[in-house]
Amino acid sequence: MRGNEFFEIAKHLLGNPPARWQEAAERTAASRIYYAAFIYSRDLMETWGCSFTENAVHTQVAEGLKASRELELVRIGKKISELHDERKRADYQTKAPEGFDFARLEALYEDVVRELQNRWAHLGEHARQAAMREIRARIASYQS
Amino acid sequence: METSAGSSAAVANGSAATQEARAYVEQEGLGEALQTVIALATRATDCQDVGVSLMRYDDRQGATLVKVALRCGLRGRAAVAKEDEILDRMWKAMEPESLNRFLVVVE
Repeated sequence: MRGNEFFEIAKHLLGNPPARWQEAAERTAASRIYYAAFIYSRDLMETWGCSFTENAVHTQVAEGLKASRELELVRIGKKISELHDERKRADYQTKAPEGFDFARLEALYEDVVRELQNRWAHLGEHARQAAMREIRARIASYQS
Repeated sequence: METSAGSSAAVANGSAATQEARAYVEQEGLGEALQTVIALATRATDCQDVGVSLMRYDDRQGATLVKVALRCGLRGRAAVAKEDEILDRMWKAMEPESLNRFLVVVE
């Protein structure tokens, strides 16, 4: 399956949940939006030649992009980290007030999906090879 | 903290999360970089008063960041656009190694 299906189910959950499940629906939606962005990014980076380890893949995707020294890739890595932070809040911090800004989460997701492929495609060959070296080195640093 | 004419930002001292983040910043020698991040970010918000809180962000897979949350009333796409602008400023002013230790969030 593709990551965007998680985004679609998140939108569905936010549509009109029964009142008794509203908080659970919102927390689940926040979590699914992160996974939509994460899976999209992971799968795309694998087509670039990245390989990830199962127990560190979340960090490797976000931190790998941030290691690239290409501002736009760093920007996307930070957006994935932000979505990840919200995902943890949604799934684990169940005693805290929820208050998710879904317009923000959707904007973060849309930026990741729109920009990751686009920015990579517009890098010159030399810049792409340099970015790949930096990304791979950072990914390797998180292998246990 | 005075950041620019007419604007000010204060880092909340009280919360356990902020104290933990401060201790981490000190331990890692990130104090100067944090001051730079807060100054750049508060200047970019164009708000009269910006509330700043810090959190240590551990992803359990080996990455630790300092999350800097600026409360200035922005939401949705506007907040994301402001974060993009702040990152642009940080990119011009800081080394990537320092910059990547921080996650700046506008809310």
